[in-house]
Amino acid sequence: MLHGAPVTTFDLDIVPLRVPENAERLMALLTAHEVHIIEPMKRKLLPRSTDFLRHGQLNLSTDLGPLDVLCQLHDGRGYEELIDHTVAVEDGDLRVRILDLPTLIEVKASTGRAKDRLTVPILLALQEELAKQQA
Amino acid sequence: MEFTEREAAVREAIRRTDPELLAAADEVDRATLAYSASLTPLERLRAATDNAHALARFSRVPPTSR
Repeated sequence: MLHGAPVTTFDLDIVPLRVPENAERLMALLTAHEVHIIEPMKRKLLPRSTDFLRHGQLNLSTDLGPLDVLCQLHDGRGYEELIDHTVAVEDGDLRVRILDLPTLIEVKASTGRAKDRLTVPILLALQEELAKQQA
Repeated sequence: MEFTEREAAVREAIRRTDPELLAAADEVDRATLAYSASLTPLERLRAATDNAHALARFSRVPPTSR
């Protein structure tokens, strides 16, 4: 979406750097936003900072909306492997790093999930439009 | 239109594994893409959030109450 694809999403996916200091920072931020784990029994379990150092994925609820913390993507890549395939997006004081468009397409096309596959044609079309603009 | 080496490699991988996705890209509404591209990242985020909230307001109606 931040690349310019007109798609709607209900959650935000992040891939955090898996070191203890960053996990603590993330946990402190999420604690201030009423975080709990989304799970079938709806028990409002709290994550622990050490959860962010593992290999899995956490589906969280916060007062700002749903947040998926992906310690690793489905293909095993984590922050260290992905950082070189990101671009910085800036808008005023906001500065975030997001997957570059080719990597995002690669990831969405390979998850095996229908909802990700549906976005791939839109991302491919966006890539074509951006290439035309740069030509 | 020219793609970077990396872009071309990803497109070629998709062409080999799932060519329907490339064909479907031709059907994407380019006017909507152009509109989205005209927005700043924050505006894109706000538009997507507004859309998500608007969709969330709709609820399923049981067939008997139609």
